Amino acid sequence: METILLGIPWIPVLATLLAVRGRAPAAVAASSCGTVVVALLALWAEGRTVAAELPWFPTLGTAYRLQADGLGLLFALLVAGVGVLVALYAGAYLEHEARQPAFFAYLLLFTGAMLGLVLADDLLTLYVFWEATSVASFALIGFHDDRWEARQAAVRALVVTVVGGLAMLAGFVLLAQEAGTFRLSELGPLRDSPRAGWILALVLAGAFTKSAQVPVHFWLPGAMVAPTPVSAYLHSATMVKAGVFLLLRMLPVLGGLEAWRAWVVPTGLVTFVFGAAVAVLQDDLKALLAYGTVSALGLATALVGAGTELGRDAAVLYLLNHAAYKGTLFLLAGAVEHEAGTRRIRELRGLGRRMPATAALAAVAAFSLAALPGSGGFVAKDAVAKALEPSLEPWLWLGAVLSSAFAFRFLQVFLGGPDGVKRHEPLGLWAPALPLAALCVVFGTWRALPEAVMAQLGAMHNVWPELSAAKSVPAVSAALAGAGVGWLGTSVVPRWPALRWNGERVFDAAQAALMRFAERLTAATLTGRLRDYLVVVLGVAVVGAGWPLVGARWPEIRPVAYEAVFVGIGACAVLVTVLSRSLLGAVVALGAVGYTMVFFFMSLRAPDVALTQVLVETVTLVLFLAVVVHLLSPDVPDRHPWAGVDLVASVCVGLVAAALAFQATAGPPTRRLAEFFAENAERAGGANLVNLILVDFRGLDTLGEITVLGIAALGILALARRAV
Amino acid sequence: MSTLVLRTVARVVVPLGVLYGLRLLFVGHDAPGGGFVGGLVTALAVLARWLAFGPPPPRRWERGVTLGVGVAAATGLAALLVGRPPLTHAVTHLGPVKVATSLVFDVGVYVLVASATLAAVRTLWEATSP
Repeated sequence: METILLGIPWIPVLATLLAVRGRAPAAVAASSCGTVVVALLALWAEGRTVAAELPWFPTLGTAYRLQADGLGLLFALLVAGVGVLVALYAGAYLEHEARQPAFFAYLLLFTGAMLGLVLADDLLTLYVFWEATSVASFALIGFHDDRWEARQAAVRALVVTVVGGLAMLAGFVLLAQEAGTFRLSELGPLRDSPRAGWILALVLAGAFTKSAQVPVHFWLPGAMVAPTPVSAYLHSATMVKAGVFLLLRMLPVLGGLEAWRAWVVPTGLVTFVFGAAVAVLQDDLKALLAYGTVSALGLATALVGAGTELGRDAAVLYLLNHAAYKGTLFLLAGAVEHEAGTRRIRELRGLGRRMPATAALAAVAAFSLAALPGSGGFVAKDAVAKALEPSLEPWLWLGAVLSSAFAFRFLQVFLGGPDGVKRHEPLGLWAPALPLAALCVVFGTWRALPEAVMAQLGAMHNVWPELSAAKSVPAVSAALAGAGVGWLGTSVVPRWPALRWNGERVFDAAQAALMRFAERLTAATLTGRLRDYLVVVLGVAVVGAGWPLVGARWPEIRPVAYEAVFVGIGACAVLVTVLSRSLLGAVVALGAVGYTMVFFFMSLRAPDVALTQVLVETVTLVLFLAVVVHLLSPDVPDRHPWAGVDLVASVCVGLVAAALAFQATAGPPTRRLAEFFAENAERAGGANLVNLILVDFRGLDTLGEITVLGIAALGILALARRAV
Repeated sequence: MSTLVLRTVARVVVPLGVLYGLRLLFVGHDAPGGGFVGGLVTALAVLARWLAFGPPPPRRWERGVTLGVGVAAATGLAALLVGRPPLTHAVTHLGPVKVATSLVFDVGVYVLVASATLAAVRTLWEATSP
């Protein structure tokens, strides 16, 4: 069981290898998700919380830890189960798509990441899977990468969720420091402190961005440019629920803080009402559903924010039901678009006659969305009403009416007389929605199902609402009122203003400003003149290496007579280099400076270093004389406008380099390193210490250096080929 | 630059230079030398030949570069096969001949340095020759 648990997230990931080969990728995806479902059911049947781990960063105290507790199992089953249906649906939906294998590969990577996220029992494991879902979502939103809107929507979604994710990571690290462990199931309730406030704020930033809470909700409706299976799967049923899932996981840890309620409940309620209100105003089927999702996530957030066990259970019930009906509606919206060629509600009517199965399933899902008695939505809404404080009840009613209103607007595309265009409905575009729609009904009529969910959560209380007039009448009347509002929305008001109060614009403006700033900075610093870059690089080196030397103690210098001779020769060569009127003369003189160094190395009995110095000087000189000289004009220009800057820069570099060399020898002479090498030379079997250091003692350095050298050579080759 | 004197000298010096480069490579473990220096000497000798007789047509130098790094890295990783940390070297004596795995590593360095130098020179030569 432990091995199965650890392997679950990797089943879909491994299946990508099969999917990219391009033979029936939809079947591969569906069957791998099916395998995961079976594995999860096996874990469920185990009847205990299976936990397992593999070492990952033992020194950090973190590990690849998974745990199949009730909450995790429920969400994992949701992810894998909906995954099967969406994969089957996508096979039909993307029938003519040439890049099907890539699509399914991304989808499977997402599934794997999402499974890891919900089963994680370690803060860092959770974080890694969390970000992986963001990346997969990016690839899927931008799947039609030839379209600007798709790419831009993908970038918006990625930036918002990843920024939130990074904040969350910071929160996790602080939390782990406070609690002394990264293990989720070992975290205890946090006490109020300034640090706890930071942790809460950072973790909430992650949850709110992922679950599209106002005001950063804008990425979710934007993500609707993705192919519809993606909208149904990632942006309605699974990934966007990760934020609420995180809140559920953090509830025992952070739920006791005073700020928890104060922040989470209002954010959730505002998002709930805002999303529902905006959803009613949409003319695009998918946008309508997307704002509906924003609204639902808001309600779930508010429920978790209540901090009670009842709130937690209601949130889980509500999220599961939401996945069922919203998933159904998304899949059917895709079917409508696929067959009718548009998603605009005003242009669609009378589809019920042509697409009866689609219409019937949509009606079932809409009933659940409107929380009519006998549907899963009713069970969930009942639990929600019990969990929220009585003072918040008006909000709930407002939300219920608005939800019914956009459910009605969705159904309107099926009502009315046929528009005379012949349509058909392929089996593959409605059959995958059937199990989800059935779930909407079963959840509301078969008591054992919600109770099994509650049992998994370890909840004691009864959530089954006994049907009575006292409960049914308000529910039905809210639904009817909603239908009226929806009808008004479509029929009476001639045209809704294009409501785009959106962070989208703010985001795009900020992005454009950043790009302009980057362009200006680039234009200002990247002049295209090598000399300018050199001055900047050397300037930074001088300041960076020079400032620690300020105030350092200087060693006593005891010059030896013959050394003074070498220095004199070197200084002469430097003067010739600087004053030479011809480039060739300067190059040769510079070589002479290098050769003087050989004297020093020889006088210090370092033949290897001296040999290397001679050869490097020679190769450089030959390279210059044979090759580089052709590149430049043979004469040094008379008055260089920047000669002063060059002079200052070179003198500074020389001084700092000399100072560094002095400082390196300033300390008391350590023999330990030299002794180590000398002692171990015997074991290395060589007599030339320098070579032993290069190939043996410091072999890794050498390997790194020759790799750099090789890359530089390849770079020259590539550049020259491009130039020619 | 291709004068008679240069060509005559090159005929004698170039093979000697290549041999000397190889010698530096092989004695490196016990005497001044090694893969880096050996590679440079070999490259210089070949360069002298190019100066005298003109450069050869460009070759696929990246092969030499990758081969060099590959040999060095493979030698380093070989230690893993016998359960030692990477880049651990071993020395044995086969009669009077000393055999060290570090020599193979140094051969990688030699190949890389020689081919990287020649690749750079040959490419710039191409780009700058009138």
